Amino acid sequence: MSDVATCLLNSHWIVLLPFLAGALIILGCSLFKDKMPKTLCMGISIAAVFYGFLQSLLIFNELRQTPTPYMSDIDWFVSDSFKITVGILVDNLASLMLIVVTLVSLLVQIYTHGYMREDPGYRRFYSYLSLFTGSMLGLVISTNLIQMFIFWELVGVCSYLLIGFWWNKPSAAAACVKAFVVNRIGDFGFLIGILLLLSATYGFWHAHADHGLLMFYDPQVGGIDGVTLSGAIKWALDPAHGTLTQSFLTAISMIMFLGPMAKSAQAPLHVWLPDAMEGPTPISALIHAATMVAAGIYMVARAYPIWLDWTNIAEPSTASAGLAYVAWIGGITAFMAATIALTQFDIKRALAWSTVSQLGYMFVGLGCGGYSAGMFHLTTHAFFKAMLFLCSGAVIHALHGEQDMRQMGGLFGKVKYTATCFLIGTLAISGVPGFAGFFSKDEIIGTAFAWQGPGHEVLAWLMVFTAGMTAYYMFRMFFMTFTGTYRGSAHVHEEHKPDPLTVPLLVLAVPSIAAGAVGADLQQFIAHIGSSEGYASPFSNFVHFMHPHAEVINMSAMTASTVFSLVGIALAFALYYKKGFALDVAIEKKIPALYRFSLNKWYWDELYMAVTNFLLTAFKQVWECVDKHVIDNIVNLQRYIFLGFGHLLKYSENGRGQSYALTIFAGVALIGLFVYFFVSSP
Amino acid sequence: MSDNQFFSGVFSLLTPHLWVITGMVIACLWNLFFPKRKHVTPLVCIGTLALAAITYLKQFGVEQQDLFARLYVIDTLSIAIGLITCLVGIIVVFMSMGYERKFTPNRGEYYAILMTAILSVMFLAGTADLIMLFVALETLTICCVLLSGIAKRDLKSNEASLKYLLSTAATTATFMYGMSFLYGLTGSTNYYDIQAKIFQVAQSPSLVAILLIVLLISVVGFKLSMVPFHMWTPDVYEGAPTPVTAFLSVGSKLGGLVVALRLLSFTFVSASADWVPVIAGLAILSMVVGNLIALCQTSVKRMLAYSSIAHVGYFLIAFAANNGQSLSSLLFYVIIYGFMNLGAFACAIMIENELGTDDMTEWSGLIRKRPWLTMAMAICLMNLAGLPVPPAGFLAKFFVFWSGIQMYSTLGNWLVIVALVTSVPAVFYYVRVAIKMIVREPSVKVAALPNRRVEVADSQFGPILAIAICLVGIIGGSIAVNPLMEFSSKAVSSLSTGPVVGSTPGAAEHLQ
Repeated sequence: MSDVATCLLNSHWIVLLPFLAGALIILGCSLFKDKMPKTLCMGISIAAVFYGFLQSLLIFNELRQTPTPYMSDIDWFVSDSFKITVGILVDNLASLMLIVVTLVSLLVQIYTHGYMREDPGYRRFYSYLSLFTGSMLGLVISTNLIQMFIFWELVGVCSYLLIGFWWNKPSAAAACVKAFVVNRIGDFGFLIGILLLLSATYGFWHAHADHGLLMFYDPQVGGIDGVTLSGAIKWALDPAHGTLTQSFLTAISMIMFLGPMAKSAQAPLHVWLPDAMEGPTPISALIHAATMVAAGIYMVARAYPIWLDWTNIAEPSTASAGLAYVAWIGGITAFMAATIALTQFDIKRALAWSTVSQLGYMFVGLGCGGYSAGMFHLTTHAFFKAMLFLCSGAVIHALHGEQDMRQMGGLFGKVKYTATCFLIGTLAISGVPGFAGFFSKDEIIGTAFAWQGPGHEVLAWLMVFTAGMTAYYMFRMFFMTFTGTYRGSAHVHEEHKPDPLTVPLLVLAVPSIAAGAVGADLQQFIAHIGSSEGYASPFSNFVHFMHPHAEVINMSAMTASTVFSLVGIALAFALYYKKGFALDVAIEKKIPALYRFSLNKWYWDELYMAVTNFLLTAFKQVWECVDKHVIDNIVNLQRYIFLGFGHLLKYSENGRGQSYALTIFAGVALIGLFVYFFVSSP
Repeated sequence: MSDNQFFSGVFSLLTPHLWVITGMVIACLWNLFFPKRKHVTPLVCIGTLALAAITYLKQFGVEQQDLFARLYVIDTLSIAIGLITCLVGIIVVFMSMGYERKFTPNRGEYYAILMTAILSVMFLAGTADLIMLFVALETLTICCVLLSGIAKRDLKSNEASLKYLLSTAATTATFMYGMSFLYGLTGSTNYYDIQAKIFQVAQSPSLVAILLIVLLISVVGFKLSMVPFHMWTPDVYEGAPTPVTAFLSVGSKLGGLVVALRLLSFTFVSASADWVPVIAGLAILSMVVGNLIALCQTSVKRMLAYSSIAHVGYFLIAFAANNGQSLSSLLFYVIIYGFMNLGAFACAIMIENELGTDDMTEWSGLIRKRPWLTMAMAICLMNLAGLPVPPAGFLAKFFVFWSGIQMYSTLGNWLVIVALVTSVPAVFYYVRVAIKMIVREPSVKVAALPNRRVEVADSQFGPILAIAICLVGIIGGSIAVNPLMEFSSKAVSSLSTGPVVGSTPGAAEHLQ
């Protein structure tokens, strides 16, 4: 067997090992209680994910040389008419995600050792981390929508557990419940979307009952007409077999999009993510910045055929209503979150809003048909945002739990590794040329300009403007935290040499700088600047293994967004580096309405509370009435009937042996006669 | 073929039985020679049962063979049932470890008799002749009588034993009566011959034919505790030592079930129009009576006893549907039911050992003191109630109900309707116990428990292992639905393939 095959064949271990590690830690902790060594917990957990990382690299390497996706399915539920399978699908898209997830997870787990060392829940934390990593990897390599949904729910549960990790803090408890409830809404939409799609394409899967239900695609068969999602949609759109119409498909895609909307925090289901910052910082970095929130983007990319326009059935187009919906939701969210981030003071929450905004960018990329642009930004963003969060954690750690940026300042000399890394991350997210974010963000903006959907120019300019705001608020954070004079009172724990807290930062700094240049192939990129000829970047080549396509570098868009970014940076420099945070006060005085609108996060929470309070109260009153007067009586009546019969029958048992024997004889005689006279009389 | 070769061939096919006989003999003699090492007896039993199970596993899929002039048949059904029986035996022996101290000085005998009972179920699994059936069935019955009364000083145990004996005497009478009819009508005691000849009898249903069927059903019904042959069940279940109750509720039912499968679904297959309504009627009666009486029990063991009557009602739905698919759902149900019921009994034993009572109100708040045990019991109860946590119990129930719907007849619909309606009280009384243990404040007895289990004289290692096996079975059954279903359908497929000699094509067509 060739190396490729062996390497890919064993990919299930990437998923299974973290699960086993989590189970092992839980088992160890429940058997040995506090005697379970902390380092052992860490060792098991890290070893599992380290293995996953190594194998992901191997897989990536193999696929880069010979793009032969590998799939293996096992039956989970089989009936005559359909079959549900679980399995692994390792193709280029998945292998990319595998690397992102395992690398970030590995570094976060190392970081955790430094961050959570004193925490009594250290072991529990590692078991949760392992479970999360396993679930996320399972989501990545899912072969069908149903399996993906299962792991989707699993990562949701892990997120719930980890946000509420410090459950005795009321705010954390409230935040995890909020995350859970909001995600339920999204998951419900996702599930309904799956079921609608299934009902529309059921005949197709029924005809291919030897394949699993709702499979993304089978590389062994391949092609657009194979047993794939696109094949099924094509089949159902054909009036000869199915009843699916393009508008119904669009509706399905919109309903299904509720899932990514909640998981990837898009308006109006974004409200849980900033509150999720109540969890420990490693979690914010791993789950709520780099991996889990990207699951929504990954899902849309994976199930892309659902979002396409199939009017011309031979050649589906990306100018579809479903994708326009995705793009506009993403665009609005990106803009909204950026405006909110302008005024936040909590360092983690400000970063959370920037995450929401960047996730919006990715959806703009996907929605505008830039399948690889969205995935590219996902990859680069995962690195620099995880690093930024870990930096914020290091700052919080150094200040003994202080998160308010008004109590920081002048930390550059004291925590120099962290500050340097934070600066790199800030440059990357701001889209300064050369750093990772520059390439991916410009690809998205360029795609938005090239897109043919409704209002594409407005959307593109909105994104350019948002890029400026991003640069502004990120540098605002940097200057408030690291420059000027220290405004807090707590003793600052200084950094001297790299420790478990800073090593992951330094490692992540490398891809934060270079991932963009490598992914876009800097040489080619420079060579094609200004030319009207497109070129296929290595990244999109890799992701688009089926049909590589070239993208033109949109010179004017790139210049515009760079200029906007630089203006934002300059503004932040002028206002915050020079004058502390006096500007916030000035704006608060001048235009208090806008300021408070941003500070209070566009009043989404208040709106939701008002609506739910009104609706729930009304709903509750109606049902309370029904419950009390109708349901209760029915239930009680049932109970009395059942119990009454039960008591009656109970006395048929009189405890006498002779009557038992008599019953047997009488039973035989009576049944025999009854059957003879009433049942089988010819 | 020389005699020597013949016997070595036969004995290699009967290796599992020989293993169990070895275990039985050792269990019998061990305490006589090594009175100080009594704790080894159960281990010997488990070892031999495990060896028997492994041999069965290797045999599974072997070609059908008739032994001893068609007295005994080796096919997938007999092997599958034998395998399940060995598993049940292992779990029951584990459960008994520690508990059997109550039977001093009869500990060795207890295991020897239990092994004999297991052996007789294994023989029942492959019985293809009325005489063989009678011998195996009576061996099982006598063992059950002895086991119920093994706690000699316990009056309730004595009462249970006597009641079982009296009731079983009655069914033996009806059974003999039925057998004499059968022999008179067909002139043979062999299933294959009877199957070939019963066709003519079935053409014109006479009172004799119907009486014959009801007489045969009565003995099966007694073993399975169908209504109205169930009267002994609650008294015996309550009075007998709990591990014995567990065996009666699963092991001895397996015996009854396989007899029913071979007699009704195979031998009487051409007369199915006559027996299906009887079975369906008994199913409805069992579901209604079992579930309703279970509703007002306060003793957990009595509640489990009545609910087992209700479960038999569910078995019978699949039986009445009587096709390959429904019979494999039936076997699936039986396997899952075995795990969850044995698990519930094992938990009940551990709780009873500590609390000294099986009154469910006394179990309130147990989760505060014994969280793991309570959760295990709750899982078993939820599955018995058919709630999908994990889905094994639910799926088993669903498949059986589905086979009822697939009958596409009024009868099938009625069966499923009654099953659904009577499932409502079932959920109530099972979950009530779980809620009492988890939600309520601790009762006086529970509050008085020490925080950690004190192992006074009995090691609880055996019951814990039994619970673990059952939970693994339940969870495994939820995940490996398909392999288990395939195993079941392969097992029941031998009913439709017909005998090697003198096959009747009509039967095969019917069952496919």
